[in-house]
Amino acid sequence: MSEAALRITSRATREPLPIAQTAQMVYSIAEIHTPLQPIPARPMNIVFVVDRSGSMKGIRLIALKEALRRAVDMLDPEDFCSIVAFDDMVDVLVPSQKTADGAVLQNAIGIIEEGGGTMISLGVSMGLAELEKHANESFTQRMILIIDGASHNDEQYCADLFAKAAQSGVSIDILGIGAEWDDLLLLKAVSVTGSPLFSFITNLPEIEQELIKRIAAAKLTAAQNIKAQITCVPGVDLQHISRVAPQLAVYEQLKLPEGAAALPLHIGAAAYASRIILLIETMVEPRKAGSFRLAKISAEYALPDGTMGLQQADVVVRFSAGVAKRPHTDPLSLYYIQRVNAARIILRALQEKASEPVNISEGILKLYDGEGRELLQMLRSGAIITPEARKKLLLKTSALTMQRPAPVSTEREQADYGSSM
Amino acid sequence: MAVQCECGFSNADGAYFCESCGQPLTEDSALHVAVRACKVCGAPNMPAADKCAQCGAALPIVIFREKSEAKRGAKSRNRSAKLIVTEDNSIYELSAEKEIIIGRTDTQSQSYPDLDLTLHHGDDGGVSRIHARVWRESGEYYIEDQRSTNNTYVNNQRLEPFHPTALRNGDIIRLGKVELIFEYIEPAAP
Repeated sequence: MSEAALRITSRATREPLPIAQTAQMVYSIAEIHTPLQPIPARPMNIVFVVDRSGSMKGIRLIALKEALRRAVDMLDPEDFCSIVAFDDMVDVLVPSQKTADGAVLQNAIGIIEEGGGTMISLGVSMGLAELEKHANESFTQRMILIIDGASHNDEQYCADLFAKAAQSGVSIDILGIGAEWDDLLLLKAVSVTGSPLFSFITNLPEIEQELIKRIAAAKLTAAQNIKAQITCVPGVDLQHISRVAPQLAVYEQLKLPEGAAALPLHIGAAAYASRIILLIETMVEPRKAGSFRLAKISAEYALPDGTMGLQQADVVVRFSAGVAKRPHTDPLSLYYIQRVNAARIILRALQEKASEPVNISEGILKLYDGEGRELLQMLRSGAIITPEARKKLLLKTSALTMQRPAPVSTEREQADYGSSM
Repeated sequence: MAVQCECGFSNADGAYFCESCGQPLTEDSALHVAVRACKVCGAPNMPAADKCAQCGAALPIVIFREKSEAKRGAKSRNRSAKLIVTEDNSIYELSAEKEIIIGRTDTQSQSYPDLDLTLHHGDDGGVSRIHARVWRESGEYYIEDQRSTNNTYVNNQRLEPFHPTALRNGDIIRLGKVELIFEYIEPAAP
């Protein structure tokens, strides 16, 4: 295995499992590890797709231009860059080219003028076309989409384009300015491409900060176009698969299509020295005592040198008749299971757009900060959730697996730790 | 065999939390799910971990208290606490039942926090109208920054807005430039 290769490990969240008379839920954790040692950064093939619709007029456009100027300055001469501006028309301001001549990029940014409506599909389509000009796996393929309004009558076309981006291994970083853009549509973009969740920008200086952060992260790409595939053995029914790290992917409501043998999952790109952690939820038919393979997980990916890699691992669990009904579950797995379940409930409530009260337990409320709890109380009471509140709740939910939990304080909890070590 | 939740939803055998409302369904999941968070990247880790699995940073050593110490800890959970403004040593006693808002008074926006730092140079010291929230939960006091302009610090560590942080005896809290000390109030000798 080369130094740059990824590594997959998996484990059941509790072992051994009791032998049951009926089917039972079995949870497993799979981890995809990226190399620890930084290897030479690959050049980027990046496109900035910017919304120049009428609502960008004034200080929004000024801040956007300033942020773009700083962002293109961060690129290396070997990087390919293009700039696409759209409203209800689209223009390629700078065709994909090496960034050695920074003046071309700076001049193009200077001539962006606002006007017209918003057709996101136009911008994304043209952006993908620019990326395709240098669609070489040895480049980090990245689209930065900056928007401030909702698209009209092109949702399906947008969804098709996001799927196309996923197939091409393009990660999409989305920066949404203000609260008017369609977060649920763009959730699809991050879902199918495995990209990080969008940034919700309420203060204009954040455009620059977020752009810088996103480009810096893209430069640390250790592998991209990571496609995982989960294949369950007969008698095992895949219920859900969710990414819990580096960011909880609340959008992955994936279920094995009927009749399909394996579930493909686009994970996108991963940084050096990081772990992608997946929670796999399966319904397992009764088994005898012994160790069984429940599923096979494989990950295909592109390395910085342009070569493709493939790693596989088995998800194995052990059943035993001589265990208590409920053996101890490791706390970290339980932590992930709790948060994924909470995220699923919240996302379902937000997507249904219902104005009816949602049943959310106190346990879920405790996972959120003060502001998050207030938003959840609104969902609970059936109040109308504003676009701003929905975006905040989505972001808070995606951060559930990274928050700092309350410190250990009770004797009971410490005793539990003791038994798990 | 299905597991029935209090809310009426029927969950699959082996499920830990109700799929419909999130209520814990088992003894394991009903416990406080505690892990060790990395101070550098925020990733959760196994309770026994000595370094963060995500970023490799060292995790602080945990000393598991003996039973007798745990009992003493239980006593401390009943203690009340106070905040001392270091500038003039004025004392604000914290309520065990009611949360307090720390900030500065602003008549125009009708902002009247419980602990008003206006007279302690809150205005020119960068204290926001609603700066931080302090409350007691399960015997511990917590502080949470309310997305203040100039941030809240505990022992020089900046708090993320709306992320509760447990307070320890002697912690130095800074709101903008105004400094407070958190102290437990020792109960009077019997």
